[in-house]
Amino acid sequence: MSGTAERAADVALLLEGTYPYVRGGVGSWVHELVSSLPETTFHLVFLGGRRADHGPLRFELPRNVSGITHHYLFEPSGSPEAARGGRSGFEAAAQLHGALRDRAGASALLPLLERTLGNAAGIGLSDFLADERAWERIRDGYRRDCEGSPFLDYFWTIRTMHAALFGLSSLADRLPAVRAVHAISTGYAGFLGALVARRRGVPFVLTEHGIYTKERKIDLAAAERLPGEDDRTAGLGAGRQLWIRFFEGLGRVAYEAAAVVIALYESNRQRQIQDGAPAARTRVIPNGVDVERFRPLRAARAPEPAPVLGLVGRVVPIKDVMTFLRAMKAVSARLPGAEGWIVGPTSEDEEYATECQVLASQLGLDGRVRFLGFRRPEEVFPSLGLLVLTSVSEAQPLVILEAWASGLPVLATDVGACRVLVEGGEAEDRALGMAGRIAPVADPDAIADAAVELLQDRPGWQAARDAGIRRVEARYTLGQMVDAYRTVYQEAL
Amino acid sequence: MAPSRALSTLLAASLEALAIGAAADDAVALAVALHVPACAVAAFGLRPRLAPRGGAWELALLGGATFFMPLLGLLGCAALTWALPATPLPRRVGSWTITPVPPPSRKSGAGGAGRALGRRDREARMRSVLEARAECPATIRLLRRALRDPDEEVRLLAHAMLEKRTRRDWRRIEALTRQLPEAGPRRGALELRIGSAQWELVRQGLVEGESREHVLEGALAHLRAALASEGHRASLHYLLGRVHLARGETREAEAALRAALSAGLSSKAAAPWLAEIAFVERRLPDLAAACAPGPAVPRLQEFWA
Repeated sequence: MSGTAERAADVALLLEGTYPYVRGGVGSWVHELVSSLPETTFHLVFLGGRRADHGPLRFELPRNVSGITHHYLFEPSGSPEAARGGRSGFEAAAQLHGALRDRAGASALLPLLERTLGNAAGIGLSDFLADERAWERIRDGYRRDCEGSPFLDYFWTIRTMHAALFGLSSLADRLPAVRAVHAISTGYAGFLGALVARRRGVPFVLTEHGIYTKERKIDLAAAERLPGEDDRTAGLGAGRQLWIRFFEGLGRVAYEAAAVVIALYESNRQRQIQDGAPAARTRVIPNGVDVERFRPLRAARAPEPAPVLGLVGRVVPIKDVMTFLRAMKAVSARLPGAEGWIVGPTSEDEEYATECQVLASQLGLDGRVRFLGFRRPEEVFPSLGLLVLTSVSEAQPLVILEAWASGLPVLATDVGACRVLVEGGEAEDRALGMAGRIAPVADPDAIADAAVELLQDRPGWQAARDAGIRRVEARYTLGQMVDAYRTVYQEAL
Repeated sequence: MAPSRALSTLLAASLEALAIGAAADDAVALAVALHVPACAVAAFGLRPRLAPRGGAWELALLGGATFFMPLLGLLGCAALTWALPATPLPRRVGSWTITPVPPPSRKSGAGGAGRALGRRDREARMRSVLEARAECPATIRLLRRALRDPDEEVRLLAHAMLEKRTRRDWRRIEALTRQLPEAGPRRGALELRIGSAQWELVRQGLVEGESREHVLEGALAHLRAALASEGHRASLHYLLGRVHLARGETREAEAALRAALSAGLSSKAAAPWLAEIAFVERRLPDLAAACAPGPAVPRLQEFWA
């Protein structure tokens, strides 16, 4: 951990793998939120995997950021603490695991968690790593849950997943004084929020853009092979199930501890309730953008829709850039002058980004598709004729709102809140019109059909553009979002 | 049995002449009584030419046309009867012989997992997606079906698995393509491997639409480039045949498959594709010959099932 905290902050923002080191929707959202609440001071807590995974700051920190604490989950945290060896700590740990396995009511989790990690009689990292009772617990767990798969794989999986929690427990004690904590996901950040809230008696606000547990499941599904899996059992191994249960458990701990659980749209709120969030504490606060910032871009756009399709987002598998490339192959067969611009950083998954560039070349799209890297919206939006999002998972993409604010229609896949955004939700919203098109996921031909139809139908394109402007101005402004969070913080503080 | 043209024309004309005579004598009832059978005979005589497979409704329509246009309708009918060639009525089949076709082998399919996708239980559907790991088109079809699942987690899982396979195959193609400039005498063999890898993307259904056409084009180019040094390989000609067939080039496909047979490919391996070509070209006797009892029949059954 490194800290530059100078004074107590109003809110500790708990950020796992995002702001201020990763650009993207969540990073931009955090930056806008912090910048728009100058009366509130923030202390940033950045949780990363390993130090080497993260480069320089990607944002200029606003003046109301009082400090930043870095914590790397999978790096040794310095000299090991002395063993405590409390018997009651091991018993509490066993009960906690039992409660998580049995999906017990979440209210049982926090006291057990505190007895396990939170006091002198609890378990420390040294106990977990070296005490014979920890070994026995692991052995018993293996016999109960995973007998038949390699023990070593089980052993190291358990060690890896739990060791990070001891580090977070220590971090919860060392954080500077804050009046509230706000985690921007469940997972490790949510777990830390629960610990801090419990130990310090401060309110805990939880915002989820996507659903963290779901996204981790997808990461696990995409992983080639986890320890304990061979060709025959790849994807089905006990290790994968352990990780899924682990993340589900972290989610339930966070939901239980949070005073307010915020989703970006209604169906995610329902999902949070289904996963253990108490319904009375949930609420929806949609994303919002600074419409005035984008308004001048409307005039900069040519009156005719340019045959330029832009995918604006990080070049990572969840954005399904490969489907965009395949769609571009079909589009270019029908619109000979069409171009595809991929606008977003490639550093997060360089292997994937390279494969995308190779695929573009193999599909004969050299010269038709350009990888532009990160660009500010002002640099690219006026040149685009259509914003295309081919993601396989999204929450409520900020880039859609930004595109509308700049007078650009959108073609998005049917994920997250995209359909509600583009077509409207309730009757009043639908009356604003269709602000683009929706296509099925991973269907290049359908995406190409919709893109070509919209680009060739000038009145339809203009109607979609106008509907987008109306919708973002009526329902998704930065002011509306910031006011809602100001109220949340006022209630909490 | 269809009446002869001459007989029906003669009979209809005679009856109609008598009807006209009766009408001239103001014997209206008799005229109608003669006109009706004249129309019926004319319609019946024309039916094999205009509506050979038709039933009562077609017959009634023809009869009605002649009835409501006395003389003129009948003359028209007669003229058409002589002008049009007769279409033979379908041969009556005495009785059907039902030959049960054994169910296709499930060893390469995804039938069980496919059925599980229809279940309401999300976990069962997730498991069925996770278990879909055979390297065959049925697996890819199943994963594509799962992309339309109402549950987002199932869709995401299917997409992750589909992408994993697609990326693996593209990486393989890229790695092989990078070796080309320095392949030297191995170039032909390398071209064959690249073409095979590209064909595999198409065969499994991992590429669709324009991308599929592009990949097929690439596969064809690489396989053709391999011909100079690897032309003795039956597998090369066989792949060429499959690629041509996938592009709808049946003539070239057949030539390549025949070349594969000459190079030693077993007739069992070529049979389904030769039968497919015969089917596409509507050469039904050739198709029947391809399906004649022999060692290729089980493979054909699997293919056509």
